[in-house]
Amino acid sequence: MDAILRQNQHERHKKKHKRHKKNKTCSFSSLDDLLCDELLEQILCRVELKTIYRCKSVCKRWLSTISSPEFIKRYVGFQQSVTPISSRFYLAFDLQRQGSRYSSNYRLDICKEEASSSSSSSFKFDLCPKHPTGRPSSLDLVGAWNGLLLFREETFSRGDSPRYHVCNPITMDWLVLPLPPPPRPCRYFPGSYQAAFIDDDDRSITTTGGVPSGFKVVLIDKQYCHFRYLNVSIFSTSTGEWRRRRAECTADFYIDKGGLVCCNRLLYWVAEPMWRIRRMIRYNPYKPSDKCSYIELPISGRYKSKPYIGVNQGRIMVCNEAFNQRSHLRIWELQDWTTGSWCLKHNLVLYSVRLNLPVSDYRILAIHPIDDIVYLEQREDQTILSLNMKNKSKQEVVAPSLPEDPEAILKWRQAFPFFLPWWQTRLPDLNNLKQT
Amino acid sequence: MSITTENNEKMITLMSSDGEEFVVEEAVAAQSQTIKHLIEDGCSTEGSIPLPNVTGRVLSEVIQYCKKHSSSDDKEEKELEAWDAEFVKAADDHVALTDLMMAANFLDIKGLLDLVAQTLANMITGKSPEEVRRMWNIKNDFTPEEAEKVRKENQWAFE
Repeated sequence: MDAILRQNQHERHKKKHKRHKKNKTCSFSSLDDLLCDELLEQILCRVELKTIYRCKSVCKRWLSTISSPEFIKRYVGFQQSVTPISSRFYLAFDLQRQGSRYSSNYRLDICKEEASSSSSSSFKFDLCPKHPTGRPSSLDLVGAWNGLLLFREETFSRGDSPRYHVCNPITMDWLVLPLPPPPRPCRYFPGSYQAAFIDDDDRSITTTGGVPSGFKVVLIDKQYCHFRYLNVSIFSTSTGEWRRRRAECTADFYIDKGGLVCCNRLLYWVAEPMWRIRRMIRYNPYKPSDKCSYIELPISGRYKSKPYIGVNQGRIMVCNEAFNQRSHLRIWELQDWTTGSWCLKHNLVLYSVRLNLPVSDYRILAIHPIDDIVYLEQREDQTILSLNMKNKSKQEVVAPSLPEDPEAILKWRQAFPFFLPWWQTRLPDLNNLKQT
Repeated sequence: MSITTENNEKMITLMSSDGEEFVVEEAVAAQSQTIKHLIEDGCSTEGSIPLPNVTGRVLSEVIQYCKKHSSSDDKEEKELEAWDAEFVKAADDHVALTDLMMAANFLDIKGLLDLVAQTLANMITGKSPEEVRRMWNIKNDFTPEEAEKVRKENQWAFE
């Protein structure tokens, strides 16, 4: 492909001169002859993504135009200026069905649900990745980044390290990452990992023109930290391999089910030391040997469900239930890390949105990364509720049924905010990396 | 610069590549950044501004657009959008639109350029490569092997 491109760029150069000469002598009917590269790009910038990828097959000139980094930058910039980012927001789900697990991952079309009344709320099934081997999958969705999904393949023998898979749910491309180093077992817990799926590069996306260069998968040993060290394994697409790191961490911790959250290039998680106050730990995966720091969470007293952490408008949020005569849902915003100060941003009495069940009958699925919305799963009937914390309104979203088995009972696992990318993220060729 | 400060009934003559002359208000012609700069530089004092890259047929369409858009500053945006849609519909064939786009580019009229580019983009959207080629009379210069390779790499877009 590179060879075709190079040869074609050369021809394009020659052709440009020719085109000028031709222009004066005869009339044209071919767009290819008429339009200069600038105008062709202006048109192609406005074509939707799937057609653009098809247009690579039109001719060599179009292929080289569409493949050039300058064009991709321009395309992404243009699309960002005309489409609101919130219209590209989805929740990526993992579903479980009574013992046997479906290989599918379902997404919820949030924007459609909010644009009109609840009647059109729908789940879309067109993003169901099927594992290329076709075997009944034991894949768990553990992260989403830039239009890619990260899955962990369960291992059933103790002490084995789980294999990680990356999938582009639109192109249906799969990538199997090399086997990570095994988590260190400790006396009381089998070793296991919590994963984060983040940019490879610590420069912000704006400086790279909206197209991230690659990804990192960061695995943190989930177990209780005996030795006051954090064991981290980091996979980077630039090296194609796992590297082990160790960072000092003075907080005793056990990573909660809420998992790792990435905000402004730092990782956060709720630590759950036994019998003590919950803390939040911060770790910089781009300086993997730097010491971790921690602060106290703004919640105290008794609570049944686990606090959920998420990111909203680039800030860390903690969402938890509180019971004070009536059930409340509270969202705290992290103000300042060094002083450990929090600000109570929303306090919603569930009764006020006609939710009569205690909070413990709901599970916090996700916080909307832009709007003031929290998604809850109602444990009883497994519907999803979207709560608008600002105007204190509720919307119900009907749980999906599997197309081939409408009666199936589904169990939500984790939900991840997922943005449809402006340009397809290509999966790296790990074999090529190793050779170079 | 003195011309731009005069009242807006000042008329400008534009001459197309095939010698057709159009007399328009300066405010209309100044929708084109290119013409605006020519006026500011005092190039119009000898009477008419020659536009060697634009034919009379295309120029009359461009002027139609500029007239509408200079007179409807305070009108409803929706009405203008509807007018734009009709305008590109009238020039429905893609060769006419391509001519219009090149003129808009040369004359530097951003609104018109955006409008025509979007119309052409809409015509491409959803089409197969074969259809796009046929529409614009583009030659397929891939060898069968190359074509197969490119298609394979972007297989998802064909499904």
